[in-house]
Amino acid sequence: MGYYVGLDIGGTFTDCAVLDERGQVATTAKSASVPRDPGQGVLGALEVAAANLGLPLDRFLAETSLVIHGCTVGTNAMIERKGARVGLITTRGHEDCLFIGKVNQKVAGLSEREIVHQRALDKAEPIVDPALIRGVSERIDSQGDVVCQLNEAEAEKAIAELAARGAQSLAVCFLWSFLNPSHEARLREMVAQRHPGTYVCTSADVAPVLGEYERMVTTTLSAYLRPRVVEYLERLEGRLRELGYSQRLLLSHCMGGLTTVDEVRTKPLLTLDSGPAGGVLGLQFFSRQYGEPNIIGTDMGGTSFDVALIEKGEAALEDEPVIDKYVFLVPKLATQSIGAGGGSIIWVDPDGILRVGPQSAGADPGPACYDTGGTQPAVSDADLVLGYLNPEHFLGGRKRLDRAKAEAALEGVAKALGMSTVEAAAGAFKIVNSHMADLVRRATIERGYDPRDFALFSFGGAGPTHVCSFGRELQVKGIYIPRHATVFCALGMLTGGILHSYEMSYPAGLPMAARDLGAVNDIYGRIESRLREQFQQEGLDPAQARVTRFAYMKYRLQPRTLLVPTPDGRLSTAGQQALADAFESRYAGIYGPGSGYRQAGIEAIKYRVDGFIPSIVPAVLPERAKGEADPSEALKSSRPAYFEEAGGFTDTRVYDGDLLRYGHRLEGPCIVERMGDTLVIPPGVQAQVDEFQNLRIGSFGSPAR
Amino acid sequence: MAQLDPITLEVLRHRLWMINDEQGKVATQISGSPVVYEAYDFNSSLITPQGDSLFVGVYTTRLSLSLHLATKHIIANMSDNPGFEDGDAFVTNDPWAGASHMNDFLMLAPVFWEGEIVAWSGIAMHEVDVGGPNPGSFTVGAKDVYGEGPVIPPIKLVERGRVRKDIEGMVIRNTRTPELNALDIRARLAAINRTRQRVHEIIRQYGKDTFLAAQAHIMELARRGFARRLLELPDGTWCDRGFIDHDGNENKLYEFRLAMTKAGDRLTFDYTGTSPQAPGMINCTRVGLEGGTMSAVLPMLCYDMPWCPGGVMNQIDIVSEEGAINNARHPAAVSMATVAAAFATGQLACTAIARMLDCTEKYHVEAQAGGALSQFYVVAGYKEDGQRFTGILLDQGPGGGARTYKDGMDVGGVPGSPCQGIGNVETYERLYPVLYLYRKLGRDTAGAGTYRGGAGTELMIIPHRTRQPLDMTMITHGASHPDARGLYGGMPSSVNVRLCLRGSNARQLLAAQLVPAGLEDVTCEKLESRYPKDRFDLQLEDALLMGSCGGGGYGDPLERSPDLVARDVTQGLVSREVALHVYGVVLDPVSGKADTEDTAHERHRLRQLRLLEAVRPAATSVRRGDPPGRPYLAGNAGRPIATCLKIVRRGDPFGKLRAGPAGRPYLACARCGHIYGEATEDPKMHAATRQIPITVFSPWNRFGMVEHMVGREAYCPKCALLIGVQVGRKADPPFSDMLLRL
Repeated sequence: MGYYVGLDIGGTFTDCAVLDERGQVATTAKSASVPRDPGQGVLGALEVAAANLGLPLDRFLAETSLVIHGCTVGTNAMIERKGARVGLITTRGHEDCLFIGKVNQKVAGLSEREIVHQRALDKAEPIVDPALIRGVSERIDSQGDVVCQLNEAEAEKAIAELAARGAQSLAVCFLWSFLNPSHEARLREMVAQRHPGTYVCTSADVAPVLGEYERMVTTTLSAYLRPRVVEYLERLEGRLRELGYSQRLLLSHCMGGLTTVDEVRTKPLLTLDSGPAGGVLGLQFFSRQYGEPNIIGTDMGGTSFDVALIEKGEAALEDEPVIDKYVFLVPKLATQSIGAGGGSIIWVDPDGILRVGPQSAGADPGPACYDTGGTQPAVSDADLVLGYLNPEHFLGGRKRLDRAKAEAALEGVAKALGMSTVEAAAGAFKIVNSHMADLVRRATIERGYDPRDFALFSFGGAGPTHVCSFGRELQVKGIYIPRHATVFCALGMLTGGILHSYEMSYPAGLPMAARDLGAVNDIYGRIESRLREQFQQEGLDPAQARVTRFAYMKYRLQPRTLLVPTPDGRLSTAGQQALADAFESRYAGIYGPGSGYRQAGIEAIKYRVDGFIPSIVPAVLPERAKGEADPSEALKSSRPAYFEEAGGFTDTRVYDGDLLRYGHRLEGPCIVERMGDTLVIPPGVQAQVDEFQNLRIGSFGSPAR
Repeated sequence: MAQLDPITLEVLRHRLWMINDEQGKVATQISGSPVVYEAYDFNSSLITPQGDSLFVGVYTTRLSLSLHLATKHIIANMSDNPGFEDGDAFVTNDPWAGASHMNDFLMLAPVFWEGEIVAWSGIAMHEVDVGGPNPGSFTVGAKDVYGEGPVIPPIKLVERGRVRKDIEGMVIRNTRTPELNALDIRARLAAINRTRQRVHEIIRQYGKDTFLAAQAHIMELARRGFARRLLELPDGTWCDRGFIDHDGNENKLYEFRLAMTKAGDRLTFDYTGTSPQAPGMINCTRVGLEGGTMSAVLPMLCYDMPWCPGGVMNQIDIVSEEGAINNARHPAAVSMATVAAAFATGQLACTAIARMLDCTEKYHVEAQAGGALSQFYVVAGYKEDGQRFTGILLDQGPGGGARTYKDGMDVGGVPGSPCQGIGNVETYERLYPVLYLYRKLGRDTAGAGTYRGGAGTELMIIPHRTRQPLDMTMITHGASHPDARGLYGGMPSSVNVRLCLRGSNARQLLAAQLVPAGLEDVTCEKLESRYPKDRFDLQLEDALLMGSCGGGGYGDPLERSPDLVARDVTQGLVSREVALHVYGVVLDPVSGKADTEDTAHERHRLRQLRLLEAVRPAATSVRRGDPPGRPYLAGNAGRPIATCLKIVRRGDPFGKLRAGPAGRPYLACARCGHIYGEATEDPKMHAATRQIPITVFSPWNRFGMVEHMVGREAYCPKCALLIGVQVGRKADPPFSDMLLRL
């Protein structure tokens, strides 16, 4: 008894990481993902893991104490627009709110490069059929007072019509319902009486905050995705139970914690980006282990480069994240992304300037060296030509790369530039690395940080090949390449704790009058008792929970709020002063000293309380015995690789990453080949294998020009 | 120019471009002005030491030239006195020194490296109020600039990193929103300081010389890229005319004229013939003229290249008579410049560019029918608790122009301001004592076409939680005539509508558990259509309807898929009347589906009616001496011009061509092959034409100047396929808007 299992469904593979009861990685496993039935991919990965452990699947599952899962079903249903048929009921006169989309829905989540193409902009693909939206006469005003009583006859008719049109779930979002939820509650009651069993999602429940558009999106998205997500999870739970698993199923969620299937029933949007959230949990774990409060997590795959941050030990969240142009109100791990990956196309523009991306050869046709039909050179082709990749050992030898094809593809580019093929490849390598460095700079500086105060983690198939180059450009404190980089998200899930969170809206200027102060204290109290109840229902001890209060604050009239931690206990008049100071110092930290202006007035808009119970899984254990520094036992071969510092190609040692042990020291230039990636260490840079078998690279002088 | 290897150049270009994006983003995050964070009425620019714009942000394109113009002004006039030092920053809102109008405060700061200026950083933001007689500083009633908000020429507000209190006091003393403006000064400073830091990082890494060389190279690359785009487009002249109604004092029309000529790799915008400057707030200075032009050039021609005005402007000439409404001399009133003359200028440029793009197969997809301005209004008064307030309501959106392959975006927003958004109803109700009865997609607002324009919004508000009437200021144009142009047979939009419902029964309806959701749901004692520039009291029992126009359509509406028309009727975007009379679509009264047979009949009837009502065209100009015979397609497939025309030559397509000379090129109807005339002539001069009332485009247009303004349709004299619809004054002759040079 005593395995702990993390499961992450990716686009290509479903990953599995297994810890034993002592906290040692017992095995890791991968199995092809099955998009039409993701559960099958999960079972496949479990089978491989069981086989690795020499156990039949049922025995493995019977001996498993906990399964933690990253569920991508919601994200996929959204991207493919395969959610439920939703009916939406709102205040009469505001039925078009989702389509108007505050006008700028058309640019939500887009980069500046996409925004400039005015003709090509469009609103979001609808998640609700216009024929399934009904307005009902009712109105509450900005003070929560009823201006127009709910017209039950209209409501009755709307419910009947939506049912007749085949609505599978209902979203209800009335104006100002977060101040006075009575009309929404009555609607829920009416549906329950007439159509018991139909899922109803009300806005005051899922997002009790100001702003009807974002609230309506959150409500409608919840109703749209919930049936798919819950269906999948119940089926998976059933399958696991049949196979002998008797414990609970936990899920990693987009705020960077774990939760139960029960909570997902009411907050299905928590599962968006559930998989990548596992990676961020892993970053947080290492942040604690290494005492590195600030971490930049980078994931460079085939088509995109993604960045996430850990700031002072906490994952950076976005308050109003965007999925497919819809802004919703569940704080979500902040990630930034650009089109830079192994598949990014290398090309020469009409001015004779070398460019990389943003177009990608993707997996099909793929880089030229894949020999699967691609003729345009891609970053992986450059990596191969420069000697960084081993044509015989790509994806652990599962795939062969064709160097001649890569060279042929690069030759056209080189000719246009009047350079050699190698010079063109080296140029492209430099450009793609600088683009990635630009994104990391933006992601950190935007939040008021300097990348030099961060350690950088690299994962994703192409990441370790490039990380030393862009890490040096950024002057980060250090670079880590995790031992289990290819199952980092699955493993990360096993390090997370249970995190529940609620927020409520009550805009009030500081200093607050007694009435406002009372209301805010009341909100904190209500949320905290709700958290306690929830932990209790889950069979957890609320007394174990770390409870943190926050206020979303801003200067009056500003749009964007900052999250400010609030002291425990009753907020007093004096406490408010401290709160205002904390806000101003956070503000100045981001925007620079002197950027604030207290005379404009400070206000708090929303309040959030997080309840956190630390990991119930034994911590991943470091190794105790440090071995020899000499890594010769892992040396497998050598080959010429290109390094500008060395003046060109130089014979470079190649190590087998799987044979590296705690204590080994590596001197650049060298290359480490592992199962799913290749680490390139340039001349003058040293790496060592640490107690988690992660590769650690210290500082490395000034950036290249 | 110092040499720079192409790899470093690409690395630096990407990095600098991103730095400018970042500066803009900082500004929106911390500005307290809804005009900035909601409407994105601001922009930022990275500028060379000489004052040329290296990069400009993607925000309000009308402001794209302001910042470097102001920088040039500052460099020219202030280098010695007061001089420049590290950490300095200037502000100005002077429309004769780079600002567009007084609401736009610009901040410009030199970036130093070891005692030398290596760049300038600039940011412009629209302030809610900068003083003057009217709340919001759009000065309805002003005759000249002396009657508007104070003009502040470039002045050093920040000295060596320190905000000078005395200067700041002067800058914010005259506004109704001093705290907000002071906060925004700090937002600008924060954004500029970040750019300074980032530039310093680059110089530390690459050296000053490389940084300066990169600037020159980036501008030259931008120039070359833009020149290449122009070379891919046909030579010719495309024209447009437009109007602004109401000058703030009197409801009269001012005309804008543009002849845009593309020759080789140069583009000339000639605004000669535009009305002289007006005795009211709608004028703009040369800043608005150039900025308005760029608001069309950047998104329509530079959508896939870095926005580097310093490079692009080298290929562009802008011709205008000084003293024109869009090139006004001091002391013209200019408080509304950005959303009046500068915007109208951009509208003309957009239309001319769209016409040009659609004369090529490659850029057909990039052509787009016209969009329009959203309506702004300022509300002031007292809240329930007696507290005074002033606010600008950015709560509506116009429809987007039709694309050549699909409909325009419903509530697509203002062209040239891609990030502009509107606030939540709850946000406005929290800030101001109003209640929104409804806000929806407006019916019959979009211009009809094979692809229709996007719908605009329609909303109705009533005063709520106040004991006093609300002081309303209206600021728009396109109220007398539809302002969103159709393209190649597409129709113009509705007009912008402002209806005051005096003594409405809205409150009684709410008390009776009924929320009104349209004009038809409410009764009132008196319905007043307010002027586009207007100031009036909204009494407690009144209601106000604001209707934003839609986008222009593309192509003949009679060619639109009847199923799409039926869908639009079901969704409330098109009325049954418009479906029948404009689209010729007959709907089944029960199912709401289009009846195929009846529709074909009705469309045939409408085409016959066009031919019957047509003024006969001049004789086609097929030259004598041209080879006789059937017209054939020139080149391989005949070159299409939009979807309604194609270039053909006459002669025998089978056999003789190779031997004999090719025939002269003509423009023919793409539907029936009828030859209009020589390809270098405007086919409209040889088309059948008729005048139609502007109310045909939309029933809302009954609130426009129906007695003065008309639509002019031009169509094939043989098959009646529409090729153009112009809007103009009844007495004006039609104008030529397309002359190809082959």
